[in-house]
Amino acid sequence: YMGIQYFAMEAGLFMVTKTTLCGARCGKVYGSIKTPNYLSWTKKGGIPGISAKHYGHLNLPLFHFSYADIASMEDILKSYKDFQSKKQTPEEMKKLRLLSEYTSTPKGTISYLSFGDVQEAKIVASGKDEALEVVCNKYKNRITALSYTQFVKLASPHLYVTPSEIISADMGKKRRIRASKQSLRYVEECIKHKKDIDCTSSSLIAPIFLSGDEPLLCPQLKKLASLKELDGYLYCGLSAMKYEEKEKTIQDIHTALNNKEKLRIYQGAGDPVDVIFGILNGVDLFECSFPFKLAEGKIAMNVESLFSYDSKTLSKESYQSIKEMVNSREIKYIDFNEKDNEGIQTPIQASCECFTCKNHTRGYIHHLVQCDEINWQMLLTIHNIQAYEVLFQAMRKAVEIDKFPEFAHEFLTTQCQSKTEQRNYLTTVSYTHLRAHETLRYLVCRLLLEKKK
Amino acid sequence: INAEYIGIIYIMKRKEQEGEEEEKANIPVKKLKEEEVKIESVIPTVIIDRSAEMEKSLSYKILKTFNHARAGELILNHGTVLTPVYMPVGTKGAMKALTTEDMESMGCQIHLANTYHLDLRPGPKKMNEYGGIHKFMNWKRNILTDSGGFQMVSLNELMEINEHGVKFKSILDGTTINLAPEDSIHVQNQIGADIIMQLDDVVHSLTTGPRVEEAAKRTIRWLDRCIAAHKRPAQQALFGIVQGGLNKELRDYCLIEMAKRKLPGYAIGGLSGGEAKEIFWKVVAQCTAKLPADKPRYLMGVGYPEDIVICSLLGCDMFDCVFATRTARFGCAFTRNGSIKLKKSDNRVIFEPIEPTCACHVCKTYTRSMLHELMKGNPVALHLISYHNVYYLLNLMKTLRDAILEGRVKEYVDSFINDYYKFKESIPEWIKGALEYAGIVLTTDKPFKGTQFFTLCQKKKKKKKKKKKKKQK
Repeated sequence: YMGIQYFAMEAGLFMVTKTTLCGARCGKVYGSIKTPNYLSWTKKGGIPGISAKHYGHLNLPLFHFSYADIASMEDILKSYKDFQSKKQTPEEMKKLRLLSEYTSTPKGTISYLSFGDVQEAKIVASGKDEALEVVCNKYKNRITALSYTQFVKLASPHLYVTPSEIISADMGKKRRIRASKQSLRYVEECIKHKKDIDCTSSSLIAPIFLSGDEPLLCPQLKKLASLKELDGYLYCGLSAMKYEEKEKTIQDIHTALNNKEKLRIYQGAGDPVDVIFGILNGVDLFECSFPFKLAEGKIAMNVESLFSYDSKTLSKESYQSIKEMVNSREIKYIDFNEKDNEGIQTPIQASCECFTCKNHTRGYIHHLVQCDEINWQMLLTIHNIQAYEVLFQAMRKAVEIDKFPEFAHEFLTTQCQSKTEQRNYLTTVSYTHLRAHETLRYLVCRLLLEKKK
Repeated sequence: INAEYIGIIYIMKRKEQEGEEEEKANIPVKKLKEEEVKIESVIPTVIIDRSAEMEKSLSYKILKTFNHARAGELILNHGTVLTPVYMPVGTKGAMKALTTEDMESMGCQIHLANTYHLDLRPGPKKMNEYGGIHKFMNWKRNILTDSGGFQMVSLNELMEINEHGVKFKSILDGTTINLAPEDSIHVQNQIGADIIMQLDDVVHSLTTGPRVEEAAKRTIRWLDRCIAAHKRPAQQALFGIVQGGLNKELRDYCLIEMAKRKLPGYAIGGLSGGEAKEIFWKVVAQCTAKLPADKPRYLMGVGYPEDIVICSLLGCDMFDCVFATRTARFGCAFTRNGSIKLKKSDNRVIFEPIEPTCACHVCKTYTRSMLHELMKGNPVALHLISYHNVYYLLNLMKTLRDAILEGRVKEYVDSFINDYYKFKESIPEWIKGALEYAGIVLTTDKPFKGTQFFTLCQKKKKKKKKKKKKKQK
């Protein structure tokens, strides 16, 4: 679907192509990838469960790599760079996106490096020696803004997020303010180092931690707004907030940052209902692992994007009901943990054109789940990605023709159901399956990690 | 050292070794009580000639031969299978970590499924409702179902056997399942595979004593019952399975009786269970020499690359083994020079594919370094290595077949063996014996393990190491 590997930086990172009264907008990243769009989550450089052969069937323009995953690969990337330098000319080496090349992502895709999925990130030391102590599974390292920028120059992703301390909603105000100030310092230093070491081929994204304390964080937001070298912002912490707070917060942030021309990325929004909220509030990209996590939990999306684009304009009441529905509804899905699927000889979704729905029935996938054959994860991942992509295409089209509120209303009423109970994608497993010493601490009982006396 | 002297020592040593190996093979693994060996009142069977009906299910043509090796075409209901062929194993109605599209793209023409497991889940009724296993899996090419006989060995603790059939304990809920030959055939009829196997009485290859004879004779009686119970002889080719352990006379007995039944095809069972290779290949050679030449021969449970090449040269046409996908899940991948362990840290900085000469999409897209990293947390690694391994074995059989058709088998085997053992000290002795029988003499400088020449080389190496250490000190 795309032929070129190297994007011309002259095209600029992001361009708004359409704005609407409801707040939704369309744009293009690097002149070709349309927004709103989503960033495909990866594990160790590949999409979980499906190979590069399947990328061709699925339209995956944006790949999301997390620092936690690839931090331990720094020495490998250095060796790989030496290896490539023997094969390519110096000019080609300057343009080479090393991380994309190493992980065999398709030509024409954009790589995005986030600082998410890190287990712990704490500030250690202060002043000139300030560093972040980062823990990602077994990997532990101290990084500074300079060392991080050097890593980014090595990996050369198209977009990258600056590092920051991990902040959670239950932390005190002082701690959150301190973390926010640290984050701003790292942004400024990264901008400086980016120029010094000539890391201009990658675009810098600043994280913004939202928790309802925005008045306290105003000085940081004003400073961020003044930094013209920033190419975009990553909104973190929105998912944990209530709807009314979310909407007010995000609008205040837009105003404070005055960032209409910058790329806006929403961290942790995956459910199409959250995506609708984000699009209505002017977000362009969604950093999420929703279709993949759903597949890991043996759940398939069951939504059809059959939208009547010539529908009538929404009334005020209907428009307001969108807000209530975003708060109280979730997409329809099929849970293959349940026995209802046994013997069903129809596909997950009749109108879906993915490999799974064209070739296999619900009954067969249920059989694979029952027999614990790994193929179920491949098939469900392929289906969920396809369904997600088709949904985004429909949403983009609705924004382009200025019918997004109508689309949202129809989608929320026909393709969603009431939130019955919180869906838990995590399932219990045995100790040996868990590999407790390699699993994040908040998922495994600490007693299992203690050594036997 | 005088060459004649070496030759004499070699002959003496070889005889000693053969004697040792025979002794080892005769070491009883299982001591049976007399009660277990009592042969119960047998259910007498009659040879029913259904060869006319069964002929319609399968057609086999030999295109070219090289001594015992054959290149042929096996025409079944769902297409043609070119032999010799490797059949990947999809026990529970799915290839592990490979979709049907993957199997088609790598040129797989036939694969396996297992009756025991499909009987438990989803069950023959549901399979019938689906319209058979082809529609259930959405696989348009051929399928072979094993009868469930091997589970007698693999699930030994959950099994009881008598003349009527086998009693299994279900691995799911512990309920007792009775599997008589008629039941196995009935289930396989409903599953709808293109080739079905008789229910045979399988014993571990290292078992000796009266139990082996009991199993061999009972297999023939069960074959007659399977033939009588077979309701779709024109659509599904029924293969008999030659048993007899490592006993030549029992094998001969089975071979003669099998030939009388005029089946569409024959399988060689009861091997690949830990017996010495020297004995293994001789049993295979014995069976292929006496099985009907115009029928396909299926060697069950054999799947290491060197084994399937050698056994093809001995006259086998079809092979199956879970090794390709199972070893992939542990990070082992096949190459021309033997298997490699991708989990080893050496692979972190190797930016070449698993096998540079391999044309599979994994080798075209991924480096060893990337696969090493993916093994650390991404389930796609299992898919990729499984794909490569199965592709490798399918391609190995295809290239051997091409060599038979083009009359360059010696060069092919020479090249294969020298590459496969390139980084090893020696070539196994049994390969030399098997190749000599197949009419091939290797042109190689590499010694064969177990020869006098090999032990002399080992001694020289040790001396060199000692000298080096002394110098270092």
